[in-house]
Amino acid sequence: MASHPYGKQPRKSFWSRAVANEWNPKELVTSSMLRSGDRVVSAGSCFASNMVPYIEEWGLTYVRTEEPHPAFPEMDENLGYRSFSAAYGNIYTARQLLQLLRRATRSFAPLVDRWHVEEFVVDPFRPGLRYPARSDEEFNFLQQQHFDAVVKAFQTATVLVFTLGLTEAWVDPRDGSTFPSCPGTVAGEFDPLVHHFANFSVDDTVDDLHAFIRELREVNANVRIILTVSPVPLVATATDNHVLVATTYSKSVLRVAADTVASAEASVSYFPAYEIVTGPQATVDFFEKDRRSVTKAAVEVVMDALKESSAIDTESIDVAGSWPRGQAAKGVLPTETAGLQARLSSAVAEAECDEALLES
Amino acid sequence: MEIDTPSLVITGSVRAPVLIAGHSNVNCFAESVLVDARDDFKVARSVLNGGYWDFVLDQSVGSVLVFVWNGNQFNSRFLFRPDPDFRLWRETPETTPRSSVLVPEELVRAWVRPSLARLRFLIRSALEGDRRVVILGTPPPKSEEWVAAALPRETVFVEKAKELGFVGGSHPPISRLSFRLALWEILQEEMHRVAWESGARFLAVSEEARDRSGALRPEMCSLDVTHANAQYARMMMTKILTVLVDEDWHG
Repeated sequence: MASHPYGKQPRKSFWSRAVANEWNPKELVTSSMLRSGDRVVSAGSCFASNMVPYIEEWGLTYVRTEEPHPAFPEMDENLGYRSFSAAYGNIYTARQLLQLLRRATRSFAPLVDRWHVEEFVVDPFRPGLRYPARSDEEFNFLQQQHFDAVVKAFQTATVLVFTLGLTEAWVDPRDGSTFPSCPGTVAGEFDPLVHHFANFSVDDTVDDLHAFIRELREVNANVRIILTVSPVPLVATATDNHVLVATTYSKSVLRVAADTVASAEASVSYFPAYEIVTGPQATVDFFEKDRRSVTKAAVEVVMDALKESSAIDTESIDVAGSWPRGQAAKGVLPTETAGLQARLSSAVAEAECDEALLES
Repeated sequence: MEIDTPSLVITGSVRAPVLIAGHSNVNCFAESVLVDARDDFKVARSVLNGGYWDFVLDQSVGSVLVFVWNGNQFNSRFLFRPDPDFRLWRETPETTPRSSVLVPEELVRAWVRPSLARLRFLIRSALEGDRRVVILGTPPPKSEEWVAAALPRETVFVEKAKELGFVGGSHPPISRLSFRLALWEILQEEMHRVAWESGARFLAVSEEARDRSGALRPEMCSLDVTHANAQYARMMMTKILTVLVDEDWHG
């Protein structure tokens, strides 16, 4: 029998042996992800917030540098602004992540950094904040505090987990400012002259990730980075394509970009959450009836795989005080709302992603 | 279970054209009406009685109804310095610790609004009858020195200090005045908003009630931590009467 390269491949290289039979998602991970003592910072789309309670349950430190003040425990926050290390909310695109770092380090100042909406001053890059500033002066103070918290989170981390969510975005062509959601959906007004649609390519995403990593290392030289791709499909597309076709394009771009960057950069890994949840081996109960929302069962499998691929000592973990699973990014409306809050209706407060508001 | 309900009492002449009603800050007005034997104001006390507001609406038909609404929302939680501390942008920078967290003012407003929801309802009920409705500003905070001196007499705050681990007459640090003033201003603005949106008139506390630092002047303080005295009430009643002769009083 002739020898060939496949003859030396391990079991996991063969679909019949590694997927059709003896499927083990832990085999997908080829390098060590998290380590005991890690200080984890995360950013990304809605799916990214799922990992936070697990991180804490495993005894790792989830870095939080900007949280709602404990003096107001009954006052909740919208749209995942309390789900991540600092109150940046969901970050769907690599461009958005890069611009967050640049805005925080003052190397990029958007031409339009605020919207005046009724009596409020709204942050276009955090449009769903439940408690926006009420004056330019207050906005300046709050924005500076936010930027300080972002930089501190990035400086503190030993590992940053970034979950790529989308390639579609809305940008201001005058300076490239990239918004987390289409202006007019969460707050602000859509202006076709200054709000242009963009669908980032592999090259765009790779370039943005490289730039982000390069600039991140200027504030934290030793931070490790884990890239993942969100398995959650698009809520809606602004292209002419069917949303399923648009989703496949978007996720394909992100998947290629993540692999390209992980292969090229030291201390950057790819974690295959996307494959675990969306691969043909995935069971039907990995998605809810809408075939978009990822179930708790799927998240459990993903997080088990992450844990197994990490060097974590879980022997002496005290789970008291960790976040309850499934609570990430949930909002509760106050008993009385006013002005902008009233328009940020219960649909807003209950949505885990501002992306979901494209349908409202 | 038997509940000892305070009985409903009107202080002053039942024929007085102006009825002042509300929470504990009405007490200084009742004192002034009694001491000065005034016949132009009457005061409804005993807000804890379950029938209080029905009684007030009944007693104010055809007259001016002045709401003195709560006023101690912030004192109950923030008389002692929060831990961790926080600040509001409107505080004067020189008195504000820059290391503390800046909290959005809108968060504080959203927190206080539910405490005004019933006021909004009562204004609507009052305006449906033959009444003119005024919302009166509540007394500004007192100086840190005054609060510290009065604290041992305040069972509520002594108990709160104990809950926080302070015993033997000690207590947590008192919140800085600039912080309490910022909270008080926000409360006044929210009451003003409720009045404006409901078709009532808001009467702010006169500047003459405040010292150079913005605190309630010592001569207008009661002996406790938060309330004003009869001198303050006299000043505010003069202001109410001035407004009542103003033709554009709804303006």
